[in-house]
Amino acid sequence: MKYLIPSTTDEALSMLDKYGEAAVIVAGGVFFTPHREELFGEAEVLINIGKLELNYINVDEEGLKIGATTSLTSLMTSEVISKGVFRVLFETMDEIPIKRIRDMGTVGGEVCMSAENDLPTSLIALDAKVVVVSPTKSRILPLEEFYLGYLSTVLESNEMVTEIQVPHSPPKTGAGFCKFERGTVDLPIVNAAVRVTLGPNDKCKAAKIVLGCVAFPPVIAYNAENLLIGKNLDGKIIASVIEAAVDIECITDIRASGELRKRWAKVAVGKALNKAYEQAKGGK
Amino acid sequence: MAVAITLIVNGEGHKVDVEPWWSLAYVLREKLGLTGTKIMCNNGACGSCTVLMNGQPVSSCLKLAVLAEGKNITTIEGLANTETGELHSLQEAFIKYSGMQCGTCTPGMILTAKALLDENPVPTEDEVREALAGNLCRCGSYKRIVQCVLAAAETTRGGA
Repeated sequence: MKYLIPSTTDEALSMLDKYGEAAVIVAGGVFFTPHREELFGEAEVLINIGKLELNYINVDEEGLKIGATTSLTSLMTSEVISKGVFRVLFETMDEIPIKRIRDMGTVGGEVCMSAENDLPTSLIALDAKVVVVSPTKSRILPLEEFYLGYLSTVLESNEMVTEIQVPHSPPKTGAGFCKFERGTVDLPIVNAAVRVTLGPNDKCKAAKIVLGCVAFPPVIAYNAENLLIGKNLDGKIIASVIEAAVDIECITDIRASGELRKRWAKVAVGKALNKAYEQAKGGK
Repeated sequence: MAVAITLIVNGEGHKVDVEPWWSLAYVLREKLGLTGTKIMCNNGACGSCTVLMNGQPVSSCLKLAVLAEGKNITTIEGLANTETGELHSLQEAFIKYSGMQCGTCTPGMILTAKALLDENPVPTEDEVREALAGNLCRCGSYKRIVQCVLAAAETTRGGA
């Protein structure tokens, strides 16, 4: 196995172009290192992108821009996600209780894994986009269109993610996150993120409900979102929204059966929705 | 294809040829003979393999050795004074208050606690518990481990 350390993004891309499927990108190594044998056994080249200048968190009029190699700790401790709608990102990472995993793990890694993790669920709820570059072109696509299935994304063999963009939300928007796992150090079994925007008289103007780990790729509950639009959130509406949100085929795996996942998904959606609603009501 | 790297472990430079997929924990144990670093879960859940990298606790089973090049690594072997043999105050406290049963988690516990005390010499019990959240003790000695860390903090400050 070859080990390469590009110093610029262009250099990294030309390496990817040259080695294609045989190359694996690492930054923090949290996912690669324990899975190197079963998942990356055929990899011939390891490209360490830690030296590329992709470690940044910027805010401009469009929204939040996070470099792919920004560590989860850097994002979590950054001022910009300490309040407002972006705070849901803090709450999501706060659910990874081991600080040293947050120190090593990167935002780009969380996004590209397409496995059992939390951050993509919240990012999709916030309408995040990913910047995908290849030697010849660069494209920006919504994160929800980025995933194809378990460990599978739309990334071509010569492409890499360089940035995650999260747009600002309109006033009176709130977002909430909730997850269930077996023990605090385990992978999530179910997670849910909800974003709601309220209009006049606190009627729901826009909503996004995302369920992660119940199936791959993450599920967006369009039917449930439609039930919310134009309504005040009372107990009856919330109950019907939850029912509609979990009207999906949940996967069964070593961590939980589909049936259990569905039960927990109900609770997760309910809690996330409540948090989002409370925050939206309090917002200006 | 092996990569030649230099690891700075406990203040000493070591030239090692590593395969790019080798974890730091593996290299420390198998190539440098520093078996104080334990490998248990091998996926970052238990904290037994904790070492300090530039003063920060890192799960060495998740860290590729190639990514550790040029960083200052401290393992449990580097904590005591090599010349006088004097133990670190945390090691003293763990012995004095029996902060272990089987002892497998101890190196990781002590190094994580060291990083905490270096940053915050006067931690509260809650802060100690939060810092040690990534270190599991199968024997369930948490109560005494926390007591040891608080006692070591006290000693470092010049108390009893």
